[in-house]
Amino acid sequence: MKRGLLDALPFSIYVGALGIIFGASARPVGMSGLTASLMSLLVFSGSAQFVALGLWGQGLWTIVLSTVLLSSRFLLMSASMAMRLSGTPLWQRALLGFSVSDEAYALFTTEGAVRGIPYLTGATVMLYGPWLIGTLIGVAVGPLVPLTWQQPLMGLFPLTFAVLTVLTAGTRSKALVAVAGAVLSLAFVACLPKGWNVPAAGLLASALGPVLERAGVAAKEVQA
Amino acid sequence: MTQALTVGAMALTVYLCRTVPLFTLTDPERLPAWVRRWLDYVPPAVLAAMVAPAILVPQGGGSVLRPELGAYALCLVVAIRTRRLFPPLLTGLAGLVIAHFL
Repeated sequence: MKRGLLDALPFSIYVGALGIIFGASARPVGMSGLTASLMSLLVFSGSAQFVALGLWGQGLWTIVLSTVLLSSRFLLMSASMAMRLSGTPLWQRALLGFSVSDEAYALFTTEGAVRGIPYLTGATVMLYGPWLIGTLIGVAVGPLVPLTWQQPLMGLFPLTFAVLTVLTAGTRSKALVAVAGAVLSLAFVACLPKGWNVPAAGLLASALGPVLERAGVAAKEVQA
Repeated sequence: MTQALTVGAMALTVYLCRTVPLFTLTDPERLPAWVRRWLDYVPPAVLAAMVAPAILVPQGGGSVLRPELGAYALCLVVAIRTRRLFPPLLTGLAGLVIAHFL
C-alpha cells in the first residue's frame, strides 16, 4: 500500500493540477460547479471529462458517444489487469473499477515486481483524491487560475508515461510491440477520428506480440 | 436535469468499460493460451500508443522539433538504462525546465 502511494506521487501532482484546471474551466462553458464536482466524483476520467467540457452544450448523445470511444481503451486495460487479479472476490472487483485508470494501470503493470491489490489501492487513492480535491479547488477559485499553468504541467504527463512504457516493455518482443504501438498510434491520429488511435493501435500492436514470439523473437529479459 | 443525466450516462459508460472485463475474466486459467499471451502484450502497446502522440503531436500546432524533445529523449535513455521510475523522471523534469528557458 505504502509503495503504491509513493509510486503514484508524481502522478498526484499533475492529476491534482489538471483537476484544478478542469474545475476552473467548467463555468465558462456553462457546466455548473456541482456538475463538474459530481463528474470528478463519479466518472473519474480526465480524458472523458475534458472532452465533455469541449462538447458541453452539444447534447447528451454527442458526449456519451465520445465517452464510449475514449473509454474503450479501459476494456483492454481491464482485461489485462484481470489476468493479474485471479481469485479476487466480486465486491473487490466492483471497487477496483476505479483503479482502471491510465496512471494506476501503468504503475500496476510495470515489469519486475509483484503488484497486489494493496499497491493498486494505494495508487488509486493518490489519483482519485487529488483529482477530486483539485476539481473542488478549481470550482471554488475558478477564474483566478491562469491558463499558462497548463503548459509546463502538460509536460509531466508524457514524461511519466514514457518512463512507464519503458518499464512495461521488459522483453525484446514487448519493446518491439511498444514501438509498433507508438507508430500505429501516430498514424491513426492522422487518419482516424479523435479517440480511436489508442484502442486501435493498442489492439493491433498487442496482437503482434504472440506473432513475434512465434517468429522466434526472444521473449527474454532485456539487459538492464 | 440534463446536466445530471449527462454525468450519470458518462459515469455508467466509463464504469462499465472499466469493470466488464474484470467481472467476466474471473478465472484467467480458463482462457485460451493465445488470449492470455495476447493480453500480456497490452500494457506496452497501450501505453506507447498513449505517449507517442503526446510527445510527437504538439498541442496548439507548434513545430515538432522543439527543445522539450531533447528532454523526452534524455528521459527515455535514462529509463532504458536504469529501468527505474524516479531517476529518468527527475532527469526529464530537469531537462524540461532547462528547455523551457532555452
